[in-house]
Amino acid sequence: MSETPERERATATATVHCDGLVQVYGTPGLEVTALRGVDLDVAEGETVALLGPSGAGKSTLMWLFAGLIKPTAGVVEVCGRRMNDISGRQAAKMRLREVGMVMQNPGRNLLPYESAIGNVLFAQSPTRRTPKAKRRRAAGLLEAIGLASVAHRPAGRLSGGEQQRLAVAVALANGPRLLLADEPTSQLDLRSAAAVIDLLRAANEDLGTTMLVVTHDPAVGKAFQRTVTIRDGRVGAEGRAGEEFLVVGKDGSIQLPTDLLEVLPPGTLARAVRIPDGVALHRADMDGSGDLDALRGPDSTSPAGGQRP
Amino acid sequence: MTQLAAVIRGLLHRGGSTLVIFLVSIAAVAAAAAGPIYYEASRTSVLRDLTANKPLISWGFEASVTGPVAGVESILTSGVIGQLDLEFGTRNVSRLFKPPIMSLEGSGNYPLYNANFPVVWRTDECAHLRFSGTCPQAANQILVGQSAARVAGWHTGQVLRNTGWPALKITGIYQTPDLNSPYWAPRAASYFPAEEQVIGSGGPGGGGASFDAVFTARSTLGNAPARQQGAAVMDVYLNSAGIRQSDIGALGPKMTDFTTSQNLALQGVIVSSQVYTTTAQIEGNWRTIAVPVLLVTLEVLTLSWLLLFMAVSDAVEARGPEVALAKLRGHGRWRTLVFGLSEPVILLLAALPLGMVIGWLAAGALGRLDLGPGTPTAVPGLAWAAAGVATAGGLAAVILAAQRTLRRGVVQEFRRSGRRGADRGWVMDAILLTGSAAGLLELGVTGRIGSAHSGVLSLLVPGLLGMAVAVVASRLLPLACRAAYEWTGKRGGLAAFLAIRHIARRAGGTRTTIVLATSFALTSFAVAAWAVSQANYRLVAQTRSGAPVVLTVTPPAGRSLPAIVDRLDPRGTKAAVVDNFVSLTGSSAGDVTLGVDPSRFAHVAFWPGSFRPSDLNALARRLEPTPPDPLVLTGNAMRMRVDVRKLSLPGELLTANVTTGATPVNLGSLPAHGAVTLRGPLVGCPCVLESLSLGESGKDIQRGLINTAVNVNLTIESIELHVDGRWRPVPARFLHSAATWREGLHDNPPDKITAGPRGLSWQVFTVPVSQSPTLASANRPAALPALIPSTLLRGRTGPVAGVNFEGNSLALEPIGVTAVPGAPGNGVIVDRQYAELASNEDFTFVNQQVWTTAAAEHRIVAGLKAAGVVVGSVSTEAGVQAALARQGPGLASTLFLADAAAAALLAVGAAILNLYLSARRRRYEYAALEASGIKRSTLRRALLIELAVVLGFGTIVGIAAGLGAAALVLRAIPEFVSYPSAPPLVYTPPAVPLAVLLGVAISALVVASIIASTSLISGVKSDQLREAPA
Repeated sequence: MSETPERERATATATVHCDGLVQVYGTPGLEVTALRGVDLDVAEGETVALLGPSGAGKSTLMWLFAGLIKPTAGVVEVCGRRMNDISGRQAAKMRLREVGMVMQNPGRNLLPYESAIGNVLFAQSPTRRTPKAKRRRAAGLLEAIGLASVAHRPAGRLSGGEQQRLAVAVALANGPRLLLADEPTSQLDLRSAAAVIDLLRAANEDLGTTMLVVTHDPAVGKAFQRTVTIRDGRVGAEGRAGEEFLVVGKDGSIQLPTDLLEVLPPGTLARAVRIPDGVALHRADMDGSGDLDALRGPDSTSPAGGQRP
Repeated sequence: MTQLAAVIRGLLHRGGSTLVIFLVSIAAVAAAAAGPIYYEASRTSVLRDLTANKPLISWGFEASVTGPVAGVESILTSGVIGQLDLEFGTRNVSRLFKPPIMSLEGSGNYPLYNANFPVVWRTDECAHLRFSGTCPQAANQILVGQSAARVAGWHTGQVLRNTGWPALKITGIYQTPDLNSPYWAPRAASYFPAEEQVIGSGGPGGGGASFDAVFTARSTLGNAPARQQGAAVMDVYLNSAGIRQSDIGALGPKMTDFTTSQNLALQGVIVSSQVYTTTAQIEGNWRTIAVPVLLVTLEVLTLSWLLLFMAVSDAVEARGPEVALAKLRGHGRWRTLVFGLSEPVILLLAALPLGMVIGWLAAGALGRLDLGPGTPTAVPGLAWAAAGVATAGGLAAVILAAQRTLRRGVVQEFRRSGRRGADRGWVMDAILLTGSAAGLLELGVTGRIGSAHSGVLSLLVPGLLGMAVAVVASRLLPLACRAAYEWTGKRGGLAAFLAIRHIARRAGGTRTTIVLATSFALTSFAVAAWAVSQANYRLVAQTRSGAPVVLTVTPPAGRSLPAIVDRLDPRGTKAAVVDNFVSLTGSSAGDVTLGVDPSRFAHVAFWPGSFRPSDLNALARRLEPTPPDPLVLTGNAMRMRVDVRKLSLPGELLTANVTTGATPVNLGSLPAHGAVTLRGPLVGCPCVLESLSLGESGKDIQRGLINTAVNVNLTIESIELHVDGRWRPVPARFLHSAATWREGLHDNPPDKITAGPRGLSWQVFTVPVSQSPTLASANRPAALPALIPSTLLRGRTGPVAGVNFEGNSLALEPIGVTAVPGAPGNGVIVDRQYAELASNEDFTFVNQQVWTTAAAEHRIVAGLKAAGVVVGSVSTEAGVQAALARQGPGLASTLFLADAAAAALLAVGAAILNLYLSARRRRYEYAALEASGIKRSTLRRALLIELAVVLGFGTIVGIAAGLGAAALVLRAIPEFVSYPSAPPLVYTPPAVPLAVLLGVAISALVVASIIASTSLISGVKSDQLREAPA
């Protein structure tokens, strides 16, 4: 199936591009498919919230984008680089210069014994900036996130909210084009979460950093330009400007939102009917005839329909 | 700098593990360095011990040239100095040798006494003499000896003429110096012959005697008459302070070359030296230290590396998230490596100098305990090399331990849910087991297990066995816990269940068990070996010295030492006189006869409980059976009426042997037939009549060279003593009881002795070769009861021949004992008074000793000195024991013990920290368990049980393995440079040191477990549930 012209344009300017991305975790005697054909583009400067239930594959997507794992199949490109073939060294360079990352657990983003400024400097240490420039940038970042007053306090002694803001600052230390954040507000109170969201937005607006954030927090979804919902290893829906859209997969599949599953529970036979601007689904056992043979009529567009016995 | 600061902050953040890694690193370096440092110091100690108070001949040389005394000095000096320079190099001679002591010796004669005396100049002689008057400054001035002055009536200012020298003017009189001092000892026998006689026979004088030397100015001999023959003598001691350990190897051969030099021989210089025997002795002793020190160091070093590996593994593992964070932040491989390893590497590098210092201090402390006083503790290059190897090994351990963490991916690190991956595989166990088994097999095949004194390689057995047992035991513990799983689930309570479950979860067991078991195997073995060797040193020291304190004394002339001691210790429980005679000739050479006062001896002498028979008092009583009283002669003459019935050779002399030490009393000739009264003078009595002998008239009292048949039949009708101007008869029993006499010579047919109304009848039928017919007073047993070590007795029963104090045969009635105090394997103990009677009270070759208890030493010594007794040397059991412990094997044993104890201490610390960190990683689990309603006290108990089981198991298994190794190879571990033939050594480890070890270990573990479990569980908070499980 060929891509639409709109998608082709988007791909050309995308910071993140996924095409049929499949990720299978293999352990002896057990294979777990985390992603089953994800197609996703995130444009330069775009802010995207990745939503979805636990185990849907959101974190796996993050690992893939950060070059920490390689995809089993499909294509993933980040900042114009094809991540399928990237070496460990190149991936490390990428994480240093172009991709920042914030982990879910604040403690895991930081060296607890290092000061706030020391943590920012630690992130910059492999760069070739002068020590003075590094220090100036670190101080600027701390100022920006409101932690200048605790710049020399060990990170382990900061509050959870402060730690997460510091984690964002650390991730931004080298001016990345893409910031990946894995549930950055999940362990924070509302006020701290709001501060982190503001920080992310500010970074996007001021620095043009593309944001891709895994979250369960509706506030993050609202604050970002787009939401992408991952369900069962696929992109199930996208939200823009407060409206939720289904995403049709390459194989024509769609994932219904949870509220529609009350109408069409899993296993229901449904009739897909072409309408002028799309397709309507009707339950086969509710079309009035009660005759299943009618389902096999000439207007049928899908073999699907009706509830299986 | 900033990065270093960050590393230091990280180290401080991980205080506990940092401390353990640092301590273990220090211990590894210290263990490595202490061995060579201690080895160096112990070599110095051995060198000093073996060269201290050595006679000149063993630690120096004496060179001499004879000829006209006026010209010999220059020949000797130029010849010796030149040859020394040739052999040793001019620069080294002054370092290796002390300044020579030169002597010029001539001889003079004092015609009035027909006494010869040496005329001597000796370097700085006046500085080594105490004298009245002035030191001779000019030619023909002399100092004379006090004894010669007393005998000859010499006085200061007197001029001696006709001595073979120009007139010699006496400028002073010297006191006899300490003949054993290094300055005088080499020439004492030549210069002080009169004093030598004093020691031997109780007084100077006598015709044709030698006077002590006269000391004069150098010019006297330099200007000696041309006819005056003499000698130049050069005594040169080696300079122990200047001799380096590296000199010893070449010293012996070079000295041999020097003494056998053709150059010197051609100049007529005779050199005497046996330095090679001393250097061989030193090198032999060094060899006994070298290998044990190496093995002990290697064993402890290996254990330290293992500990380091364990500690670093845990520390690096704990840093896994930080390493992953570094990777996440884009740190490259090299930078991540540096970041991951920086902390342990910095600790290792910091530990190097500190470990060296601690190793040096530890070796110094050990040295102060068991090396010779004042032994310097230097740091040899080998110590630095060993420390470097330890650090390098530590770095290797760090890299090995860190590689898994460093290579682990970020995702793998953050997504891990358990630590099963930390279980060690079978490969390492298989390697350790195979290595241990192969080593044990090799040692077994080569006979180093189970046999006695077979070599130091046996020291490897505890390490190998401990390792093998530890590996197996570490696998068995989880299995055992799994077996106990069900039981604890039903009956053991929740705490036991949780503890057992956690141990059972680790199928591979824990490294803690391996480290603890191995280190405690080494420690318990070291404790057992050390305790056994100390017990054996004590045993050998006690039996060698005989008593806590042994004083070698010289009583004043004419005074009885036993009488002095009786006055000092009237109860007879603190001191005992012992006559010590060492046979130097014939087949009995080396045999020792000790004459003791039995009851005093039983109070003072060592008699360990292991000796048989065990009751020394009963043994002592057996030494002194009661014979008839001796016939004591008093007055100034004796007479004897004898009725001769038959005498094969008329004109025989009847001689009374009395025990005054003077010549026998000649009573006169017997007729061939008929009665006669014989008379003889008594000098120096009261004295004891020892025997009556017959000798050929006008000749030596001994008869011819072949067995001779004789026919003597006589009756002694009376014996009278001339006391206070009147003749008084001796007690009647000596004439009317045959039991008061016995045959003096055992021959066949035996003499016939009977008593009747007329007196004592004596019939002799034959006389053995070179003997005289003798009627002996039965004042002592015919064969002296004697305590004889079984090793000397070799199963013989019945009378055996010993040696009396004159070196002659002495019939002994043996009483077999384990060993003889004072001469364990080669001595016999007899009653002193009987032995003296049997030796004619001849003390010429007897060392008189006083044995005392330790508590009474000072009082007895002071009392002896006050009584005029010269106390020559003092030997103590403690001193002998210390000397034995300072030999190579003893030093190695102490080092082993110290190193193993330190390793065990560190192993305990590391094990506790390991378990603590492991439990700390489970705080999430504990928080969850607490949230589910389990009481905190239950969690604390569970952790305590877990710690106690793992630590206790490792400790007990280790101690058991160590004791097993001790049972296998303790006999093979060298304890002595040369093993004593007696007493039998004991190889059962004393229970007390092992009980102390077990008690200390268990106490430390229990206390540490309680502290660790309490502090850990008190730190568990429900907030931790918000964190991802580690």
